[in-house]
Amino acid sequence: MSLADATAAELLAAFAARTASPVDAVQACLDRIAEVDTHLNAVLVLLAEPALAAARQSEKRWTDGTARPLEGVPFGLKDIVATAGITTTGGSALFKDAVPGTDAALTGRLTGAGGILLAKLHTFEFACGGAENRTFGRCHNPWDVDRTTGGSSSGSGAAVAAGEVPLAIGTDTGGSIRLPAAYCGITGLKATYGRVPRHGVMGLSWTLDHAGPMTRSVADAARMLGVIAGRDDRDPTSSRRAVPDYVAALAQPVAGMTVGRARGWFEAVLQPEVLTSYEAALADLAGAGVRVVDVELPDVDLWDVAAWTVMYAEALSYHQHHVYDVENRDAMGAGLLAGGPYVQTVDYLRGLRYRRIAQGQLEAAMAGVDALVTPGAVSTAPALDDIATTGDSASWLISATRTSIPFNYTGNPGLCVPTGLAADGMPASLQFVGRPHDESTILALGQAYQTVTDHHLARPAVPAGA
Amino acid sequence: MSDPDNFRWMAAEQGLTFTLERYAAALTLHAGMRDALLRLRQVPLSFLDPTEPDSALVWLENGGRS
Repeated sequence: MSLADATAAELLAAFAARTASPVDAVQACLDRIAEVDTHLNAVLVLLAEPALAAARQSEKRWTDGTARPLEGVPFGLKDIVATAGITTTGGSALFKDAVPGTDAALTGRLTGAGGILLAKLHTFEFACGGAENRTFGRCHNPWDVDRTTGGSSSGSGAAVAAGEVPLAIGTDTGGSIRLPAAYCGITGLKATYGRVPRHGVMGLSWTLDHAGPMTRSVADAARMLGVIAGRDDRDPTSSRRAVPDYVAALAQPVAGMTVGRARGWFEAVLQPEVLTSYEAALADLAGAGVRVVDVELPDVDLWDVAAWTVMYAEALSYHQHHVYDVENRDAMGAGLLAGGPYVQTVDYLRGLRYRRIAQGQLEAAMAGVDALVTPGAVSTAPALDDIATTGDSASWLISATRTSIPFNYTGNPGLCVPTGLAADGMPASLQFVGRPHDESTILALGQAYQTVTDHHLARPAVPAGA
Repeated sequence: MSDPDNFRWMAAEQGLTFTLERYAAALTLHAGMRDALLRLRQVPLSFLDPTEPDSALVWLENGGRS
């Protein structure tokens, strides 16, 4: 196996055993990027020389016994995450040449833990999702380059799936970590609102935005979350709670746990192949000793409309100075921003106030279960052209985020894991939803699932269809 | 439900002007959410609980316990 296909845990084990070095790992990723990225367009900025220099420093740390938790592991950042001295475009022509003076909090935490920043990764303008990016071009799904990666963490999904980097950061306002994870067959974790500080991350909707890991395994997501989680005073909404040992939590036994299957809203419009994959995944979980019971969440349609009401209002408020030139913005961003002026103040406030009602409903539904399960997405990755030719692309986004945005709204953590290829040859996914600040339980469930299945080990024959 | 003229007026109130296609797309989008929004407006909410964003953040910080 190429080092480019290894997980972070495998790389760290190889570094410790001196069977591979950080320079080997960085070089393997660079070779893979050179091989496939012309077909994917996941990488916006490649940092080859600084990464190789950092890898040489990491080798010294492995030699002198001062290796840190991610020592020598390459990673990528969605290009809305600030990097000092390195362009951070927000996926937009408006910021094509913008160079921040300081790192985002999570950039500093990853490099401070020994991670090696290898690439800034594709995203849609202002992290709005869609199919097109007029400034940087389309990003393509490694499983079928004619299909979307999902978004807006498009480059993160493609790069991790294709072996360009083992770890990436995504952000998630309505599903932008979990959708590309589902569409690209990788693991994606949106932690509890406030668990990961957002200082230095371009916003879209301040009460819905999250940042988190996109990886090839649950174990890597746990390791990465342990590095980036925790209070940062520059983000007043970041949690002061202590950061648990998420890697240790992976060993928590799941036999005897109960997960609640929320049907209704979450399964009403599933692509049949996705439902088949989902049912099989639940059977695998049951085989691991996890009891699956039905739970009722009858008002999720209200959570959904409340979430979108909040997002339209907050996105327009935040990007107010960009909307005057909206016809020069990309389609999805333009659609989202142009949908904002009609949200009435009283509805925005109701959307905020109803959030606590939704949280109470979820709390009641989760009484007696350890976590919820839903499909990771309602379909496999659609064709890029199908999204691009949909005149009302924002409506497509509303449909695509059906299983994800409810938990941006409530703030609960959601973990997507791949459940194998559907009949159309594209990845399908399962989402675990935990109680707030109980990432440990959903990580343990995900780890158990990846212990009894091997779907997370599947790699695309990049670039399929090119 | 608003019509395209009302949408133009509401956007203009904020100094914004869009193409006709953009208004039409926004109208479609909001029309799709209309029924759920009307139901949301009917949900009774008390004066002090919830107060936002504080009460939602407290619930999260308490690990999802009311």
